[in-house]
Amino acid sequence: MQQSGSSGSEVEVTWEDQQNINKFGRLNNRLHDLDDEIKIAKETNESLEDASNELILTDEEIVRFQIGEVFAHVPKEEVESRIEEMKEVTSKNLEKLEEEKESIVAQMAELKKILYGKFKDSINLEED
Amino acid sequence: MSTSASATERRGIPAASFVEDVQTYLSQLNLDVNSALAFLQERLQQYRVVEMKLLAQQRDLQHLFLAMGNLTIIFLLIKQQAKIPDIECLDVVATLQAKKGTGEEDSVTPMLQPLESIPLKFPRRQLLLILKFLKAFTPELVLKMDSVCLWLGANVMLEYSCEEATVLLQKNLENAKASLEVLVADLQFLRDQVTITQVTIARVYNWDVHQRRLRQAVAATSES
Repeated sequence: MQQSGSSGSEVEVTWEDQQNINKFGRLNNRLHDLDDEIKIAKETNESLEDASNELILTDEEIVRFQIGEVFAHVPKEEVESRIEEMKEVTSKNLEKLEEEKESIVAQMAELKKILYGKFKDSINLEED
Repeated sequence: MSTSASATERRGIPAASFVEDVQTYLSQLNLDVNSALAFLQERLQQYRVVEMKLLAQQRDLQHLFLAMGNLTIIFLLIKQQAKIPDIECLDVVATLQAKKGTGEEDSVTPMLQPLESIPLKFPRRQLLLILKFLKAFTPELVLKMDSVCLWLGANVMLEYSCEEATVLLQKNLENAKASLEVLVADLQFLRDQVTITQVTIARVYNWDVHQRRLRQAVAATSES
């Protein structure tokens, strides 16, 4: 997002305008962070899916379950239920993130309307 | 030139003053356009430097949270497995490291310093958890988790009972959460100041362009 004046027009920038611009900037930042988080959550979901598939195929009784940098020996059934739990948590989180993203996109659209309304060409609110 | 209604600075970061009118701003600063632009650009640079630092701290804190979360899972896992009677000696050494800090080195922490007085500067600490199982020799094969050693810094490791360790880690976690909140607020404040400065730079520049045009127009009419 850039704010750049082009033709040197005389539209005055009020404090309220500045606050709107600031808010837009903050929302934009949050949007990028959210996109990253959503991507990670989706990848985690996939990994968990793969893991539970592998689990069905394996015939070992004790599975090496990874936590951080550590592997723990855990019985198969428990690993299954843990993975199920993790899948649920990740899905719920993903839902929450997508909801937040929707809300932010809507707010940004509102602000765009207001700011373009006042500044027209003097402001650029698109991604570069 | 009017200043914004919010704080004039936050934790050492100067706030960017909002400019009502460019003409007034320049005469109050007593700078010509180019000097004013240079000053604003420099401010912008300073903001960015601070932003980098804060972002690095934020990443460290987030790694710490991840490590803490894993720690809790492991703790529970081991407690749970300790109840299963037919598991043999599990000599598990769990190493959990929070990301190293911003590169600034701590002074050496003296041994046996009471924990409450150790400043919790998370980006500079490494948490190393060593879990030891003691094998019991009774027929029931009850595994006991005896103690936990926590690595607090370069030269300090202290041994705690499980309850004490849990309390300490809990406190660390809460402090980390509070730090993170402050950090996020700082970053938002910083972002706003950057935006205000960018807008001010654009406005000063535009004002200058406008002035030049006016002068040119005046010069043109006076020549004809």
